[in-house]
Amino acid sequence: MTNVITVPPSLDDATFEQILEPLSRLQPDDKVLIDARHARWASPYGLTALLALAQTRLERPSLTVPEAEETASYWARAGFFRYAADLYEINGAVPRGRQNDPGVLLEVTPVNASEDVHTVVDKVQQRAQLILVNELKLDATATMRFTMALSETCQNIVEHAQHGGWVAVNSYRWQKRLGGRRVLVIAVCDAGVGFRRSLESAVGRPRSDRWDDGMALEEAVMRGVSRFRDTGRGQGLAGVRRFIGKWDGKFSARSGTARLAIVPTWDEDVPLQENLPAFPGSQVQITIPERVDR
Amino acid sequence: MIKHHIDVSSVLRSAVSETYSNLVTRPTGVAVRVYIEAQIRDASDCAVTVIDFSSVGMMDFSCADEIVAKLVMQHENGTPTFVFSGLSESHIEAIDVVLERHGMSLVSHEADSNSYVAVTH
Repeated sequence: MTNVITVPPSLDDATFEQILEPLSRLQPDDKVLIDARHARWASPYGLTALLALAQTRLERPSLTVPEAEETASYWARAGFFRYAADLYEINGAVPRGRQNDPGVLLEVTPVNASEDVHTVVDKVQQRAQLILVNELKLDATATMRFTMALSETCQNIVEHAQHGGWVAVNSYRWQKRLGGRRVLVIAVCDAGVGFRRSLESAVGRPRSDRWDDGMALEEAVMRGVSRFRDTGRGQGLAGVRRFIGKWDGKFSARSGTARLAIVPTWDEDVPLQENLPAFPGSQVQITIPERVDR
Repeated sequence: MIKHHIDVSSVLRSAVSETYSNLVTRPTGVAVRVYIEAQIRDASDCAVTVIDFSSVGMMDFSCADEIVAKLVMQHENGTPTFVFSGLSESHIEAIDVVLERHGMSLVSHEADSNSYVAVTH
């Protein structure tokens, strides 16, 4: 029997939970059809997480292409179908994604090794300057910090996931939130071992009464704990968090059954969600809003 | 005093890849540091080694830790003295973050110059 999971019309980090909830009740080898026919929009998180989802299935899942031509075309321009074709049985016509989309700063890109991080950084550096300075009104130094944040987040996959992952960076204008401001969104998703299991692999890690996905996220993101003994390790995500604060941005990381968010004043997310549907690996999102002079 | 000058951008191209201009990822940082250490051994009569970052684009925390923090820590009780020059604002920011974790910080080497040394708190 094929289990059909419907993709919500607007697919982002919050609505992706609507996919994970029914998915978490299935066995890894159950047949799954991801029905995206009625999808109208997807964030970088939505697209990269869909690819990670396929990697968690023992039997190759199916995916039905969005019916709206504009949506399917955008997913193609964002590079989604290039990799989805290897991971899913695709149902429906896939548009060609030759035309560049000005909002796509980095199309969906696989991250498997350190060399991929160099490629990602080189690709985005020049265009990031244009978007961060001209569109988000950030000062010129933000470009370097942005690429540092991107580099460190991608390295998280290479160093800890024990499994390849995906990165995508887009800019777009929010229609309803933040008074229609532009935002730049980085999504880095993998289906690897996740924060808890990565930290558990540390030799001599002290045991505590409370140890779960939520605590692992807190340790890694808030306290810079790493599975490596080297005291210089574990600074990446903690450093990223520092930058995000300077930009009034938002950081969120989901791993296993928990999700931790650094919530700016303009957002109403909760800092820590637990007992979410289980999903392997880690899924990180960084949102940088356009600066407005108060 | 004889100063030994090391251009990090050239080291990056020699040790890792001709096409790279950014110091990103920990393996890159390790490769660059190992190459620098070999150059230091070849110039063992120099009391001061100037590590020049002026042609380096971006440096992330991993490379700041592998190159700057580890070089300083490994030579903490001996020579040479490291002077870091050509640092941009974002380089300094990354280095400051990693040095702080090791109980160190960057201070200006000479007034009105863009060169720094790492000192223990």
